[in-house]
Amino acid sequence: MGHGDLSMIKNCSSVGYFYNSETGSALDETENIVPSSTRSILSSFSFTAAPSPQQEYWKGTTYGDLPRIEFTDSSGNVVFGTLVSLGGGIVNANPNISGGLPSVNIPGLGILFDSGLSFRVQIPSVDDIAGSSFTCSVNVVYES
Amino acid sequence: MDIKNRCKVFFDNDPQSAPISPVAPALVISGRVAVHSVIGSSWGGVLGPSGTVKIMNMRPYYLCASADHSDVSFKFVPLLECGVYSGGSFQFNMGGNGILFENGVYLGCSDTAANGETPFDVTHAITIIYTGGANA
Repeated sequence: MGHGDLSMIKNCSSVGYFYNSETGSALDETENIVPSSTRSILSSFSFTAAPSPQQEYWKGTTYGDLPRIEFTDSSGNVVFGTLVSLGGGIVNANPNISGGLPSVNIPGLGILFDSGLSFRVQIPSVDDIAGSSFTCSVNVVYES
Repeated sequence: MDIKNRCKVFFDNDPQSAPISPVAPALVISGRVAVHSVIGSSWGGVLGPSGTVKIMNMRPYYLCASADHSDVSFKFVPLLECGVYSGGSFQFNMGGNGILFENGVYLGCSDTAANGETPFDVTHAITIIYTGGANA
């Protein structure tokens, strides 16, 4: 491929979602970005989050107990996932902190999904002071 | 096999079961492989830094070029923020054409923390983005 050949480059598309979970109830949302039997390339994504106003945190000690995002194919098979990022030590002493995985850039030509591209956001419930909530947003950039 | 190829993924959501040195690291990706990026997720839980526990007590992980725990090509602590009941994910991008592994990628972890003290296991997910090879 010469320097002037742009045949391998296609314009990307993007989607953005915003979620809010109330204390005491779990959030479990799946978004189907690319339908099954369609190939796609994951180029980048972000997963940002904030508890609001305070007193919400997770005491989990395993992956399945913690707030996370997972990318899946059309059969629901998990290709990979990451936890959300929340800092500040003991979270309930730090109201309105925010965090997240601001932008994950997949190197090179991205990750190939042979059939469909979906993601699933899971925010396990916590049982702390009522009225707290947790918000997060997801952006995905892909080719299809 | 280089950055012009589309990437593949190795994903482990139970990396705490990875072999601890001096036990031989485990083959996770076979073949001739270029590792371009690693994403690690950690969460402090009740083990987060508190009292005498330091943030540098987190257990380091290795990507090795063979089943020899001293044959380390990339060593990292997947730590962005890891307090009590907090944590997060961090991406390590290798740049260029990535780190070359001629005969597979082996995953293992250290028997000591980065500061030489007793390590704490707070890593809950590791994703390796690569070209060439295949998941073992």
